[in-house]
Amino acid sequence: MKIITFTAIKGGVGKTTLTLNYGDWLAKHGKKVLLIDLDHQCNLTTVFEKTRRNNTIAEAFKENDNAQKVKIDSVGPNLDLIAGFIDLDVLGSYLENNSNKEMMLFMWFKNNSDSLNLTDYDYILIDTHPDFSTITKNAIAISNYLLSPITPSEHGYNAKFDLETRLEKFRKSLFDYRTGETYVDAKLFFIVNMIRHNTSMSRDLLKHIEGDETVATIIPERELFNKATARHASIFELANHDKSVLKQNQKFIKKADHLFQELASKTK
Amino acid sequence: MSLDSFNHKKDEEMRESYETTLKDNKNDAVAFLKNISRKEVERKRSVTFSITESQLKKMDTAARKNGFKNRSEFLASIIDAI
Repeated sequence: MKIITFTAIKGGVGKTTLTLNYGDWLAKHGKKVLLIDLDHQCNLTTVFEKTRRNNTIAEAFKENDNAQKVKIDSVGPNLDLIAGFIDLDVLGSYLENNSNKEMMLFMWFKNNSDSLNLTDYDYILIDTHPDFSTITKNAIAISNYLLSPITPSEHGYNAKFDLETRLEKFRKSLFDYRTGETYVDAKLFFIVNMIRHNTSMSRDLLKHIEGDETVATIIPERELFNKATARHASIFELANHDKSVLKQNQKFIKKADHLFQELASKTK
Repeated sequence: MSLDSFNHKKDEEMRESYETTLKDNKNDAVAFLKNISRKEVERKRSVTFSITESQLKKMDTAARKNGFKNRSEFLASIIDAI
């Protein structure tokens, strides 16, 4: 089982879109995938279902006496979802005085692994809010990989250094006192996202990151991603169901398949 | 200075800037919030202590000069800074 968190300090860089599309791509390639919506905006959740207040991921952050059971919903073949909670940010602020505040999700995984068959999943993909909050740190602490989209703009690219620095500080702060080893051993990769073929910023960024081994893949900007999300589907699902979409985007779907293959080879 | 949108010198400056700011634990959000919540929950109590006339005068002048409402607020601020 691999746990991958999509994280970025900057908003609007494509975390949710990539979580959805990569998750569905993995599921369509025979992998059993669990999506977890850890963003209180609940955008990943609303792709599949209505928002709710019961049995969401919020239960993983509550004290045992008050917690309900987290419910795993089947949202497609090989694809499951733990719904987000719209007040997760508020809940997060109550965790501040808890000594294990960054390890609560870890403890929940440990305690619920058997009853919820969590180890049956090949991949668990976590979507996060654009921040470095306690809730996001919980996801980072249990992850094998962190995938952070960066975009061809001044702030879209500089957020990379913000994340790298905060992550380094977090690694140093959360360690096993007996061995001195950090609990935060996730490998960080960047996904260069929303690249346009006709802008100098995109060209400059591509030139600048040439040979950078922390870049997992490069994904072009395509309206198809927006269109698919609006139809509550991944681009692959949309192309499967709408022949005109497939006809118009055949070349890109093939390319996207190759790009996610590239991503999969980095995170296996 | 390079006019490229992205360059390694700029990367280094940016990285250094975040490192310096995030290293500053004394002024981080947690320290700030701790201070606020403590002020909200703690009650004030009256105390009596002795200082010289000139010290009192000096304290009054400094409190006024620094925009404090009264000498108690000024003293509390000094103690908080310890």
